[in-house]
Amino acid sequence: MSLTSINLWETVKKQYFFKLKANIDAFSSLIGIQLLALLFSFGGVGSVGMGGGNFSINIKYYSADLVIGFTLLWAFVTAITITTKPYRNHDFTFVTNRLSSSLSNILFLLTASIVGSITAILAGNLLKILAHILLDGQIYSINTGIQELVMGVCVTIFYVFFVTSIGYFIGTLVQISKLFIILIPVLFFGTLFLDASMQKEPFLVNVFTFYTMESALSLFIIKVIVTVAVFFTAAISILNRMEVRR
Amino acid sequence: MTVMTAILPLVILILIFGVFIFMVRLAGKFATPKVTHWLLFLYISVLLLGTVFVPFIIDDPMSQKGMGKVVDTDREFSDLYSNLNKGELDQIDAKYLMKESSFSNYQNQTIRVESSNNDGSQILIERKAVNDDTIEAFIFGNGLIIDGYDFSRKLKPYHLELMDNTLTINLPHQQDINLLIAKADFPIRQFTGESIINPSFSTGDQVVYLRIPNNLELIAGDHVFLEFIEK
Repeated sequence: MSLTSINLWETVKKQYFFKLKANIDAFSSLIGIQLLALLFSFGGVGSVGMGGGNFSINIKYYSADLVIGFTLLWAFVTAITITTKPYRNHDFTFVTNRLSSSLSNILFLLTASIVGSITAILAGNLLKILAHILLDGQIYSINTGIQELVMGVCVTIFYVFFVTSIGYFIGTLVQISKLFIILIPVLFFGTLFLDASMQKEPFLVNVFTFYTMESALSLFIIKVIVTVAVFFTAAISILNRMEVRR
Repeated sequence: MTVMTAILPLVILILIFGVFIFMVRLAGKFATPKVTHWLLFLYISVLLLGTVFVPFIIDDPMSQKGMGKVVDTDREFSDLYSNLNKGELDQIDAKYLMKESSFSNYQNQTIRVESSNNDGSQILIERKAVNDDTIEAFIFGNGLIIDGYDFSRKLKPYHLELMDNTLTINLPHQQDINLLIAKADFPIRQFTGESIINPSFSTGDQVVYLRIPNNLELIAGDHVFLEFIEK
């Protein structure tokens, strides 16, 4: 029995700073993956060709779409990684419980989401400069401005944090039973193929459009916050039921 | 307001950079910097520098004459043709005027108008009140509008050539226009409704408007449609 009483938030804070240091290499992979996405985006994220009379037009579109996509992938993998046993064992260097461990993980994922989102949006500017220098072409911008930059960063943070919550939940399920390593991909692809074979809109496509087609910012934020809360709460509840050092 | 808009991004970026430096120094007090820290520092520095420099390399279509945002394309085109048909050139926005030329000291009584455009060229004719032996030519175009922005200046205007008593309208050579357009990222497009897959595009023929001396007789060649303006 210990006579020292430990405040939950103090523990969470300590664990959070420890995880920030211990998992700093995750940011190296973030840089790597964003540079790779920049390379793939170099030819443009979309192109359109058209013609009329005696002229033809070829338009190449540049944006950070691919960089954001790769960042989402990185966030998903990072969230799964921190639920694995070697990472969870880090927590036992502190006086800890499952709740403080999960809360510090969530804070770490939020930090990673913020860093990932800011760098992803700013990488879009680097892409424009690289295209301008290396393709020797004038870039026309249709949408610029600080408001859009801030909005882009904020919405991307929501997206990345949303994906981390899914990753964290899936990682937690896998910690309960390794059967989920097979079950989750089977369910994922199974619903896609089953719905397609039944000639109806795949359920996952509906889920995807539920978030990505939402044009009201406030509603989008509410949807994401509620979903993130559900996934993290479910993950915390599952982890709380697990035996110590399992 | 414009100065504020120009300076604000720079101020914010300097602030972000300052905060970043402060955080790196603060972190340095608690831990020895690793390779990852330097990598992150370098990467974020490059990204911030890129953000500072990007306004200098980007060509904003809104800031250029003749490459502005067209608010209501249909209405503007309708106004253009309406003003042309009424001969009210002073009412037409300068962005639609692609070329203006003048042939002075033309003393023949007739002129033949030819065109190299096999699809036909529309030519509007305005007779001046005087016989000043000068033919004034204006070429108007609503050329190239992509996603509501006017890139007409990218198109070359018709070339007019007066040889003996024949005015020939020559089409420019085949043009290949390559545009690099930076679009907003998808988290922004989701709320602005902008599309990257399906850009709106419109183009139209160039219109030749001639102001001729009062007594000059015109002979239309093949594929040439003359339309006289009643003022």
